[in-house]
Amino acid sequence: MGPFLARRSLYGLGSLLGATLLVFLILRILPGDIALYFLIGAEAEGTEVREQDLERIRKMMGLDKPIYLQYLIWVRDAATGDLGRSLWLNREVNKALTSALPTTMHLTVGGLIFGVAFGLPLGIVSAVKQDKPADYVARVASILFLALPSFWLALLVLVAGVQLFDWSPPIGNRFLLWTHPRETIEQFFFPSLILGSHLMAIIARMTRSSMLEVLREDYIRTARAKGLSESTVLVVHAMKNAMIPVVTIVFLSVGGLLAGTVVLETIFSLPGIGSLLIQSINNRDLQLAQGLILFMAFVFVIMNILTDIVYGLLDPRIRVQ
Amino acid sequence: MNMKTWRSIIVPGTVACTLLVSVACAGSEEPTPTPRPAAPAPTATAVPAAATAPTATAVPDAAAPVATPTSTSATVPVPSAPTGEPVRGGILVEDTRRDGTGFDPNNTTSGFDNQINITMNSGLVWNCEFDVICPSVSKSWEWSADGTALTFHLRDDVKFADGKMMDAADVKWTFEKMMGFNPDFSISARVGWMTNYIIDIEVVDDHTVQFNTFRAAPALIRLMAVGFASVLPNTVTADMMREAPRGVGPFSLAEHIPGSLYRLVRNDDYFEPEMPYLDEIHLAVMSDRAAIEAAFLTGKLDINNGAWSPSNLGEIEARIANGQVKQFEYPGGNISGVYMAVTNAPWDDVRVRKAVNLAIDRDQFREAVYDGDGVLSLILNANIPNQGRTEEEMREFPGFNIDKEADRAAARQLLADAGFPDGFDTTQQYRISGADPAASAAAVFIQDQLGKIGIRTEFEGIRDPTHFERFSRLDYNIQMYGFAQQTLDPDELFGQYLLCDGSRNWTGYCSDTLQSMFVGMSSEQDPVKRGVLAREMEDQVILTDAIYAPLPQRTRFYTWYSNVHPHADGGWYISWYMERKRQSWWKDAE
Repeated sequence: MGPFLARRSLYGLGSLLGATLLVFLILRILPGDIALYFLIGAEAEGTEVREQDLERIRKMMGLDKPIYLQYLIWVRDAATGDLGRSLWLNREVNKALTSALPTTMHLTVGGLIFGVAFGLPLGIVSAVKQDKPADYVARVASILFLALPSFWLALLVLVAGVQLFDWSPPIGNRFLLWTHPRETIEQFFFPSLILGSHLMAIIARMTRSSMLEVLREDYIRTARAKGLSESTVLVVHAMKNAMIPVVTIVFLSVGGLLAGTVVLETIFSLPGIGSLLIQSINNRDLQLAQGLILFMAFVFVIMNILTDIVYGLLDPRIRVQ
Repeated sequence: MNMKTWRSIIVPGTVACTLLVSVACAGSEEPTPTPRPAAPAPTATAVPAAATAPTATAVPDAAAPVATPTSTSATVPVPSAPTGEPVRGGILVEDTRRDGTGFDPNNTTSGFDNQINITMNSGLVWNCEFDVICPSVSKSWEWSADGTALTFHLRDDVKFADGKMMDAADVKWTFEKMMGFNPDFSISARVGWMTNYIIDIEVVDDHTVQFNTFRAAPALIRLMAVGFASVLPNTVTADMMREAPRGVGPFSLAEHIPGSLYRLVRNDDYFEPEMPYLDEIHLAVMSDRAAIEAAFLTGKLDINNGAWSPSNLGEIEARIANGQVKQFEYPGGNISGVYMAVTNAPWDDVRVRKAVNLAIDRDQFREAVYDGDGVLSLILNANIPNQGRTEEEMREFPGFNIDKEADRAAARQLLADAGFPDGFDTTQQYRISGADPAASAAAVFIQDQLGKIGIRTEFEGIRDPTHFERFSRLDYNIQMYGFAQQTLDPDELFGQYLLCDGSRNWTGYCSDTLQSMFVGMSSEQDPVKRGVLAREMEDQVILTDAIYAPLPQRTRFYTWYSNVHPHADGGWYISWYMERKRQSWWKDAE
């Protein structure tokens, strides 16, 4: 396990370095003078701008240095945990990130819970009742939630909430589960449900496929022949093996869920990393955008490593290999 | 562990270590870290000796008509009382589309920043009513006989957020800061152009300050009334302004949750007696229009600023009909029109520009782009007394004819005369921005209208970060854009957008005639005469030189619940940048 972890960590570090270079370059080639944009404002309506002020802002942003030096400085600082300062937000990127992280984690974990809680049973029922009405309903539901974009579902929730129930999501506050459980659930229930709907569909389909494969195995037939109850066959024998690819999917999907928070945080006015990222890119706030994207890349890398570890733990054959 | 395993660790490990070492060593060679702004000791900065004369020369042309300025003590109007008996208490909840970029009212630029900062700051004067200026931290003001000195008498009970009492030195320091005379601050991107008027600022005594100007400048007082010209204590630094508000206003900042909320509470040290009435204002950060409307409809927001989406329009109209909700409809302050880069062929030909002006059906534009709302407009704001023209007067202008076929026939003839009997191909730029969602619909409409006279356009969308750059370089052909004004004074319109070296001259237009007309208009103190001169300039720009094809102004809506009482039932509200101190707003007791 040790060498395996070491190797995967090194690969992960390489991926992160590659990600830093890509992020850095892409943000730098976006058109627009970001110092000028900072001075005239996001609606581009300031009028008086002097060259000396532009130079001062460029210096504050570190843009007066050669581009390769800007990159190296940023990577060096990032390696020591300093992601720089956002002039737009007037605060350190680390602080902005840690401030927004709980909101995004609530949303992501909520989405994961909904995705698994609905996806697993749906997939199992679909597999057990193959080619029966329940199977058809489950498969149609899966495809529907795969196809429906999350922003559309979010707007549907808003419109239906107002028109039918005189309800709209809470605004103007940032609740945490451990301080305001009721308000947190009210604030995050629908966005998490929507976020998890896509994952639910994927899990349902993967579970169905995996269960069908396992249910056809000889040892399942043996278990049934031994007289075990169907529930014991399913839970004790079939699910354990069928869950291996599903668990892989769940771990890998965390990164996707993180990316999916961008739209939902904007629509539901949640001050998380996703809405912060959108704002940073629109404002050409390079330091903030770089820091946030690096963080997301870091999460992806960690989840990939964890996926490999968990996969090995679940499947002894992988462990031996 | 076998050799294969070791190799699979050693090779990538060596590569990674090499990279890390090179990064660390490269970083260590870097002589200086990313610079952080220093926190200089506050110093009173001396005003430089007579600043360079502005483009508008100090002495008007002898031939230009200039009324003799008269010295008058400024009348000191008082804001009209809100309807009903104000009730003290309550929390007002509004939305704001984004977090502010800072707490320095002089050095922020957007309307969103102003919306937040103006509740916590005050200027010498403010727009207390539509086109009326009232004292704020000043008690009164007067112009000298020749209009070159504007003297303010300050209140002696203004206490800043840090407890410092305001005096004339603070006013002088703040205005010099706005004008870029303080090296620790950028020139104010919004109001820094007052350098075109002000020579220097004198502290006459602790509560009297005098602004000496190059010439009579009636626009100056209007510029001082916008929220961006608020007064700050002369002890603040740029770092301090990034952290917290430092001025004085009806409210103070109690809490800021980034991305979520600004909670403002009554400032008990506010200098206006009995005000503000509200206990608190909550500004919820919300960027999605659907979410804002949902929040208002369910009572989570007290006020909604903006047009309603078709899906909710019926509901709002029903609530207005039953008295639950009130609405004020007003033409937006920003004039929109078709810009043409007059330095680029074929837009340098006045006949081509006149053809564009004739081609566009303004009435259809209102239907197609503004869903039937909006009002006809030229370039001077129609609502400002002595300036704006009536709809009947506008109909006399080319392109405002209801019979568009006649207009289009004339346009085709002009194009033929200019050497384009079959029209020509060009690109049409448009701004991709959340701040102007109608821009793309307008671009499609303009394409259609120009196509009817043979000008075939291809679209090019430009995002905000590059928009300003490209247009300041005149790197475009035609686009719909507006004159974003904060004072609605013709000085701002002509001075920034239409003079040869206007800071926002995005057409490349340069007319000696307009330059000479400007000084006379700008220094004319009689408002009626000034209005006449402004109209003459408008005629020059639209009729003679045709550098701009005006489009209808969008109608904006201000909607609020009936238990909320905004000042003058919203009737004061004409510009996004103008005053919303909310000091006289109140809510019915619950």
